[in-house]
Amino acid sequence: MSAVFESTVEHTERTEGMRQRLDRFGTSIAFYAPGLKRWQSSEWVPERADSFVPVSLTGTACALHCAHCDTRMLAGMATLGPRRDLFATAQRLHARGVEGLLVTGGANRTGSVPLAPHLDAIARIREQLGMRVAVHTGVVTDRVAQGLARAGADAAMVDVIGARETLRDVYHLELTPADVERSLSLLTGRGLAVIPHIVLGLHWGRLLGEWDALEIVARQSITALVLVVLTPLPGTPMAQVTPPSLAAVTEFFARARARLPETPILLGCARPPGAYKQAVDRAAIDHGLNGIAYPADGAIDYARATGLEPVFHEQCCAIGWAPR
Amino acid sequence: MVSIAGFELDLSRRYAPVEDLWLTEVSEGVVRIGLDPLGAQSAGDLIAISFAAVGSALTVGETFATIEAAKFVGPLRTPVAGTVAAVNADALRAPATISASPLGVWLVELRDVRPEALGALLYGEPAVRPWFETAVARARNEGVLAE
Repeated sequence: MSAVFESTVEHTERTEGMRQRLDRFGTSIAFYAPGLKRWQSSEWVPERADSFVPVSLTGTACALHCAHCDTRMLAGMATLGPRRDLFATAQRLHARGVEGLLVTGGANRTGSVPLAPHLDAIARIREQLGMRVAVHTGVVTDRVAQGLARAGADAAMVDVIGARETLRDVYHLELTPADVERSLSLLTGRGLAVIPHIVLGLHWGRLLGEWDALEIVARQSITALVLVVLTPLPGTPMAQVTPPSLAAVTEFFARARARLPETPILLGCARPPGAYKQAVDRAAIDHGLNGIAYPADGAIDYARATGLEPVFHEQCCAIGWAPR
Repeated sequence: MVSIAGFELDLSRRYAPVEDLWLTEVSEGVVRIGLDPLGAQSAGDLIAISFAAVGSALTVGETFATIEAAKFVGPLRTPVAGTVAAVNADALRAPATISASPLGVWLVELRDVRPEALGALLYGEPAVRPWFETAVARARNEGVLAE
């Protein structure tokens, strides 16, 4: 954890979102540094770089080749190795001190992460190794939702896409937002801690289905909502895309806070770097979001300047809100 | 160039093993610094870089650049003391080129570097090969490199 220091930052007038969050959640704001990458800022140097590790069930393979990722995000994740054994992988990581896993992967042609063969392993990882397990599900069947619940998965995470065009043109899926909502419903219906993600600017930098996605998650009994911002990655079809405007992102933060006043809302791992990231993080603080993963330089100081009290977690922001 | 542990290294350069950097002397007391191939691969796709200001006097361990990549966000620290003489504007404009060609893209040029500082770095195959093979093995074991 970084040293405590006095803030020198001026902050803007208090927003409605900030008033709401102070009323309902108090002054605590969470900052997260999961082990998804080695990370440090001028304000915070985490003690453990790999306390929470992503494991790809499919290696670097994915049937979808989504335009914003094109499998790039899978590179560098832990894999199952030739034995295809998730429990053995978890044992290996546990032995080196890893405390939690994000079980993820590429998807199959129907938009599902192939979790079904690994449900027993997830249960054993939790019971025998005491590790926490968050899962990226993609779209799910009731059988998988039930299996995840029985296995005791700590959190189920799914991207919520609110526009059929985005499902088709970005994810290459012939699904509708109703299909995505059905998956959310199946997961919440089985009592899982569901933490959906909405990617702002997913339609080549434009907000298209995000407002509907917000309505979808508002209809479900979710544990927390994670917002991320499209980050154009080298080597993908979206490498040259301009991210959504700060005004659009800020407006979304404000409306999300108003629409989900009782739900923790978190700024997740992904957003474009540099000055943009600093501005987005400030907007997230100004509009009452509850936590920020990998905060930009200056964000912690800014939070203090607004009267918030930072709390630091070296784990996934989603799992921090899931009940133990 | 020589292949070590699956990476191509240029043995005419010096290597800073802790920082995963290469250094090459362009004239007396003037060196260019870049990411070595292990540093580049373990960082993942680089999407942003910022540099210390030209004219900054840096001591060993001070930050000469900050990078944001898919698997690493943080400072790059100089293994030798010197003054920032130049930064690579091409790398600033297109940071992805660093990931694509780490040996081909220098990051900063330092002047006033003392010769004995360079002498402390790894140079030549007998020194570079064992370090690099060990470093790659450790990175794979720790999951820093893609499996």
